[in-house]
Amino acid sequence: MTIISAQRGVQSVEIGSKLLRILVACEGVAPLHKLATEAGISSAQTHAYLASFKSIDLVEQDEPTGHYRLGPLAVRLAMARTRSDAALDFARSKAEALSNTFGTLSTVVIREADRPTVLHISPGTEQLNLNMHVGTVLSLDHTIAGLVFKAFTTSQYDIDQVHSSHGEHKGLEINIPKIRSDGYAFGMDVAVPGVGALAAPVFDASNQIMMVLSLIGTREKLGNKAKAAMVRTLCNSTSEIRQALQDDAARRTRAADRPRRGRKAAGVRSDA
Amino acid sequence: MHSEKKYAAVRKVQSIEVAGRILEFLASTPVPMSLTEIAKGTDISPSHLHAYITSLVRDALIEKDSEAGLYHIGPFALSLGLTRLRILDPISIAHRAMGKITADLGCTVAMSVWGAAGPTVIQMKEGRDPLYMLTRPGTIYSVGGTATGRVFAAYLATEVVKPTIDREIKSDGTIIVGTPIAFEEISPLLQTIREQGFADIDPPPVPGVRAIAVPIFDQSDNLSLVLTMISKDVEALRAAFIQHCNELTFQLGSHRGIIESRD
Repeated sequence: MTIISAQRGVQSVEIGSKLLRILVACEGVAPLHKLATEAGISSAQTHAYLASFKSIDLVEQDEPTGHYRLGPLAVRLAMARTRSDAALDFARSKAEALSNTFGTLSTVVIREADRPTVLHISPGTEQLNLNMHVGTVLSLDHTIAGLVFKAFTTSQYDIDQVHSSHGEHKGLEINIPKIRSDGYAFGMDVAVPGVGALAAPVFDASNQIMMVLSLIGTREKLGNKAKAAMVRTLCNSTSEIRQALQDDAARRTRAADRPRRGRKAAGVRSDA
Repeated sequence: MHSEKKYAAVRKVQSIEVAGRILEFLASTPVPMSLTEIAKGTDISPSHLHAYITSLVRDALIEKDSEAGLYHIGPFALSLGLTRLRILDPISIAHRAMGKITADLGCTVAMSVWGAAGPTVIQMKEGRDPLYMLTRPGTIYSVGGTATGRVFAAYLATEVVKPTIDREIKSDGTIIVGTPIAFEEISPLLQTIREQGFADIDPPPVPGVRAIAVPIFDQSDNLSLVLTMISKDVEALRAAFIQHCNELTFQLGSHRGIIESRD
């Protein structure tokens, strides 16, 4: 296996990436002097980098303030990542299938910078008036998806948080031990009135929770009969994602062992 | 920019632009690529490319697909995109685009979203020439009876569109603009609207005032909003208007905008 760190890279690319990480840490928008100071390089140099990022649409400049903000290429790269990463791609296709089957709004929620973040939304057929979009950060305590992350996260910090949540949810009849034993969470009127959600965890190869798949709808949509079918299908979907990830890992190991000649398309595509 | 006049002789960092080509290339392909394929697709020599890939992998913008030497976009790309999307306000971006369109083409532009009552105008920017029309923020357009409504019909699910049309037809028609038309009557038109990328309507709701409506897509290729040009002379301005709309779709992070504006 090649040792990447010993190989020569392109230093200016690495400085550029550092600036991008600082911009992310500033929630995506910052003035020139702040970026320069945090990066420890001159304003003139920082400006040269930002001008280059502008020319490739990775950064744009806010007209009134002159602040620099992540640009459209950032979004296109993120969307490409959701297609190129097997786990994210499978999850997206499962969410679409759930939406098509049940007509519910379906979401894929991942952990991004340690916060539950909406990655994908299949809108479904109900008019829900939710102010949720791709990129929205969900509360660990006040959303069903957040509670699923809480219930199945096993790092010490999070276990303390989980224990401290028991008192908070008395009125809402949602408790962490039940979510764990059921393998999913369900609640009505949790984040906003009139809307309910059903959510289940997706685990990675080392049994860490990596994503949550949710169905969101009105009381009518998530009524008891429909709910039973949804629970079954949702939990099957999360198992299928896990299985697909294991198959994908096996495929990659086989590809590594095989001597390379020509190549046929190697992407693993899921069928919705 | 005011404080940056001193950087007027703008220096660029060429390697950033080269890295940008590599990322654009990988973002546009559905499967992981080998170094050879990337070199060919970006017109960068393999030896130079190797150094770039090393750094981009180190910074998690690119990831190795497997030990088989294939590469795809890496996890840091997700942080970048989600960070922008968190602070992005599509309505504000569309608002700025409307200002540009009106300044460039001189026409009136309306922005509509799909609300509980169907196609709803939320913003309007008036053009140079005075026009009498039935459009203002809050206007609800008929799905089948307006260019705007037909764009929504072409891209939203039938299960979403049909109930709205049914409600329109049952109502007394006083609150919407445009004549309610049954779904079955407009459905033959929808494929054409999708193929040509816009909708118009003849005769228009207000005689002599014509409209062209264009879909604007978000990063997940969902219909986000509709921009409608309203003018006495839409034909002459149509291509330029569509070009502006494609640039707006591009701004929202959809790769559709690139495909269409590159033609």
